[in-house]
Amino acid sequence: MVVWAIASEENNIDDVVRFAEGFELTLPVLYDEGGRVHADYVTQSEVPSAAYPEEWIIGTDGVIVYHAANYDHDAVVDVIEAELGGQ
Amino acid sequence: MLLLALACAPDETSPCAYGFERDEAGNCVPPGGEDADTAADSDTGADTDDTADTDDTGTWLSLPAECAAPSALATDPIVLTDEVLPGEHGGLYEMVDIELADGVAYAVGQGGLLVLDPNPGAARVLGAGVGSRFHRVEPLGQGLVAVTHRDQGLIVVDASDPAAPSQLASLGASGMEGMAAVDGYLYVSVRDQGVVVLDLSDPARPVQVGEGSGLSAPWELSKSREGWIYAADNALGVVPIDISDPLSPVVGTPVDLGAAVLHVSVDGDHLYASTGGAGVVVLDLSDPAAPLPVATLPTGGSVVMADADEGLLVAADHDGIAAWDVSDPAAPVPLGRQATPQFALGVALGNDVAWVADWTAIEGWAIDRAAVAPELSLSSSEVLVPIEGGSVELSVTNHGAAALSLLGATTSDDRLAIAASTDSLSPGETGTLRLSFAGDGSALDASVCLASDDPDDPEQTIMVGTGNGDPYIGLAAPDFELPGIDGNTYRLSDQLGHPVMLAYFATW
Repeated sequence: MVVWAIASEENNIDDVVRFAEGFELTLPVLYDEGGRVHADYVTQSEVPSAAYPEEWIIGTDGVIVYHAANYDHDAVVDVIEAELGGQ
Repeated sequence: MLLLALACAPDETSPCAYGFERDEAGNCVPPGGEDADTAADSDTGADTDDTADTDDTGTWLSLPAECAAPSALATDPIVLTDEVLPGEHGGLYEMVDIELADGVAYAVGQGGLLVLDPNPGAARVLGAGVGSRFHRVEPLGQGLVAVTHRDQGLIVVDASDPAAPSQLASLGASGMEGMAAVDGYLYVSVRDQGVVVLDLSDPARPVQVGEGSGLSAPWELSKSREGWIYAADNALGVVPIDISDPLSPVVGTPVDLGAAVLHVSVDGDHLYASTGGAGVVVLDLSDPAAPLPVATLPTGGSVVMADADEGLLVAADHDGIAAWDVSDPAAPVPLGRQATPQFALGVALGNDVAWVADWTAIEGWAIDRAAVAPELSLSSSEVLVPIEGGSVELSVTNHGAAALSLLGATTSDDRLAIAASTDSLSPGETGTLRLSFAGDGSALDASVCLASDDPDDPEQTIMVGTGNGDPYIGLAAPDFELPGIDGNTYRLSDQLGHPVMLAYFATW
């Protein structure tokens, strides 16, 4: 299981670095300049593009198994348990 | 939660993702985490079916199969009076700070500055505009406010005509954030430096007249009794600053609260520090150079701002707001907690009405100090169950000041069964709801109605499905390659065979 934190168009890279340092994050923090990758994911207009936090979980086969725009602990746990349980 | 600890692999020693923190067992959980859940998962490990958890919590109760509000309900201590959506004013959203002064409310965020008429029951936008991405606002009196922007510095805004706020002056500098206006001077905290003193006797020409060093990541300043201001320093804690010589602030000894301090607010002789999942910490300022913690008030959410006024304290914690009677600040009495519709980031309190910066909305919440009522809070109102069948547990917490009764539950689909660990919760107590799906391989899209004596929501709805609701689920994830701030490059397709969680976040 891999977790990547991604900052996108709302930030500049200096803010992201400071933020990561402030929270002492050492998991990979990626910078999606201009929200380019985010735009690849959000292809359907009914999903707001400026909602944070926003989580995507991609299964072992590269298929999206979870997406939500507001952290829902129980739902994330259920999805991850299902993914790891299936390995 | 055991699996997000695994989620940190391949670097098992890494901290949890933003929004998570370590619990005692070393698992990554949301701040203030859901205790019942965490305990259950730790005990049973990574099973996909939680039915084994029944041993932990004893007998399950079947609630009466009915869902109707009781005829008599207690008076709710926290009642919504206003919901102002200033969307038509240039897309104002992610509002992060709010202050009451000059008979108006000033809020700042992604869309710049918003001026609101805080008239309970008739609140409305008076004006908006001037720049964007502000982090803090500080009233200077007579319709003037100062706002900070992390990269662009400080802007003085003339809002004496609230319908048309205009920029009066700016002072470019990076890292400016918190502000406290004291006796004609404006103290501004500066990241990795300390505090600077600006003379605003001519607000169109702010002049730096002093400075003091010794702060690390100061997110807010609060004025206090004569001669002192206090910094919320994300890295250091609560930091007293001696301004008895107004032009030579002396940064004192930080009080480490064991958690990042995100905001400070002073009322009388006490300081209220917002510390994320650790809640609000109350500090006694009898010795202004050495604030002394006297109470800690967790909310179950992540407290990012709190405001106290006339013996009342209200905290904003992302999920909603919580209120206490702090007539005796060392012994706060909880009044209740209320979920807000969006994402509560800021709060300002006046005349017992809490004005809440709630992502795209500003809301007014009237606090009734005399009301005592239960408040039901579910860990989630949308639940996924495995299509092949299984059960999912939700925690149910009473955030009110009176006992809560679960009166009944119904489901729209006979394949779904509901049980509870208890039907009565004392104030602050958490129980468990179990939703069991007798799966037959076909999809579920059901709702559960849960009846209680919570006065503001006696018939709560829980959506339960097998997870086909989101339009993106089941689609192939677009591959990408992105730079990390560590200098490495990360490519999604390199992780094929591992589940990957992408957590988009904002830095403010």
